[in-house]
Amino acid sequence: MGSVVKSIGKVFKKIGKGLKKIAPILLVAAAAYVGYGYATGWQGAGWPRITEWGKSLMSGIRGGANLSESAVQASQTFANPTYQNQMGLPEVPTSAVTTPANFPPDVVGQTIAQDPFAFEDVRAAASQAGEGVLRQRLLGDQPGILGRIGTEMGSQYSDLIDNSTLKKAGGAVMDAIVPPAGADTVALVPEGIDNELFMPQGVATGPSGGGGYGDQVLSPDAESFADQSVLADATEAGIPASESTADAASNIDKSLRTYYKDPFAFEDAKASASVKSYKDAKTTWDWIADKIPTEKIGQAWEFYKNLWKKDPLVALYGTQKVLEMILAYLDESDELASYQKRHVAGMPPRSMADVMKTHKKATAAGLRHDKTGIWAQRPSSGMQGPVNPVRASAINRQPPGLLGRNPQRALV
Amino acid sequence: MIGQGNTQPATEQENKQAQIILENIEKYLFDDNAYDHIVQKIREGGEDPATMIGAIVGQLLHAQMVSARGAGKEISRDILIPIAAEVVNAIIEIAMDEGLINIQDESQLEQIQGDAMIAAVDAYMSLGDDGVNKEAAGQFTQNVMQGRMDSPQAQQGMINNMVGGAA
Repeated sequence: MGSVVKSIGKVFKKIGKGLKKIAPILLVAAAAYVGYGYATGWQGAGWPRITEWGKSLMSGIRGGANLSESAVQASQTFANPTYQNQMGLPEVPTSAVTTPANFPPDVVGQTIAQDPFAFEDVRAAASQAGEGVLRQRLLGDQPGILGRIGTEMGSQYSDLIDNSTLKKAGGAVMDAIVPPAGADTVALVPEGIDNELFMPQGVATGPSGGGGYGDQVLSPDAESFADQSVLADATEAGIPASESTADAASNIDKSLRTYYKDPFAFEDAKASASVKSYKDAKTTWDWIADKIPTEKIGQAWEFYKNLWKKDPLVALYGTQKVLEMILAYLDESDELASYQKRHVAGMPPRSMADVMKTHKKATAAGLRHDKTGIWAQRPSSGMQGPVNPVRASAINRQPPGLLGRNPQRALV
Repeated sequence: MIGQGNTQPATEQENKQAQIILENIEKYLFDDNAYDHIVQKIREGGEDPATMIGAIVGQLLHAQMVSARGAGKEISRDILIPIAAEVVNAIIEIAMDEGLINIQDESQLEQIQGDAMIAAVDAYMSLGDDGVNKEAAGQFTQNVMQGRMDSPQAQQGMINNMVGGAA
């Protein structure tokens, strides 16, 4: 699991052929899940519980979204402090984004030599401490476990191979997966995973200690393994370098850009962020700010700030992606402002289309704008119309009396 | 390099390693006792067989890596995901044969496959492996998030080979 996911050639001969292959996109997603795990919580507490993120990623892909959309969606849904807290995880420092933990070299040899699988300590600690604490106490950084077991086994294996007992050693490992009857268990690993693999009994007690080796058929053929591993070279993680900051066009512009210059000027982020991630975030913001209209810098800044607070993986998105998110947000906020302005006396604006919809609904419901329709259904007010329909005005505008054509009216 | 440089076929040496691991696991799965245990484990998974299948796969792979390292051999981590995929499919097939899973359609199969892959990674990484290149893994995730792996071409390398293109 490195910078590439390599394909393999021949597969199982007898089984697994009746099913559709797992789609490449799911394999890439699984690989992305590994990197996400490192980025989110691999600092002291071991592999983080981010299963929901992974399932969300897979679900998004199944739903037809592409990988990047699914990943961003999953991380925005699950990689926030609330989720972290719900999952009982420690707050993820922002530094996790661009500054992977600096793992010490595997010093298993020394560690194990001092205290090789101290079972009693393990059990005692397991009963009183959480899994993360246990790991920290016993194992230090999680990535070293394979090294520890491997180193320990390696010393045993050098003898084992000579003694042709490698097959039994393989059985010991499988004992861990399918424990022999009556085997003890040690609560070291997350629920759902067999514990014994952490401490194969045969290894702990030595090849001649007995009791731990089973008779399972798994027999890693040490001789047939290739001579050396081919690991992909690590590539430098990080975000693109920023471009030069454009000169501000006015004093206002300058002051705005200066004011919104400190990406971590909130809460304790600066304290928890490493110097590198702090610089990276600042560089990212400088790059983004140059591309945002001055009058929107404030809004963009608020969005950017919240993004860092809520999602510790901002840097993984890349500067361009973050810029796109900000622009999308600004577009949305423009629309919102326009919508608010178009309200009349608190009533939401209605377009002609809305009116027509209402009209269609009313028509479909049998309402008509005539005497047989909606108006006919209105209750009567009880007032009668004018008896003489010729004239309804109270003002008599006809010329009075003798001066008019009808002099008799003046006699009235 | 295939696609956008993010996927590529395994080298001859890696292919050899993959075959050895798969053969070992296949042997194990076809042992009567082991088979019964695996079936029992899947049954214990209850309503969520994908998680249990993934946990078994993660542990099987980890056991192989431990064994190899114990023998002084290092296995390329770049081939672990495709290997895991094969083992996931194999165990799903076992579960189907045993009537523990009833898959109605392709969508349901993909869901189990995807969730089992996540569970397999969880199990493997929880057990721990300092041979995984964390920086490279982070870089890979970054590429995914930035959309560099969105195109089918970028993922094509795997499927071409996994269906038997490279023997």
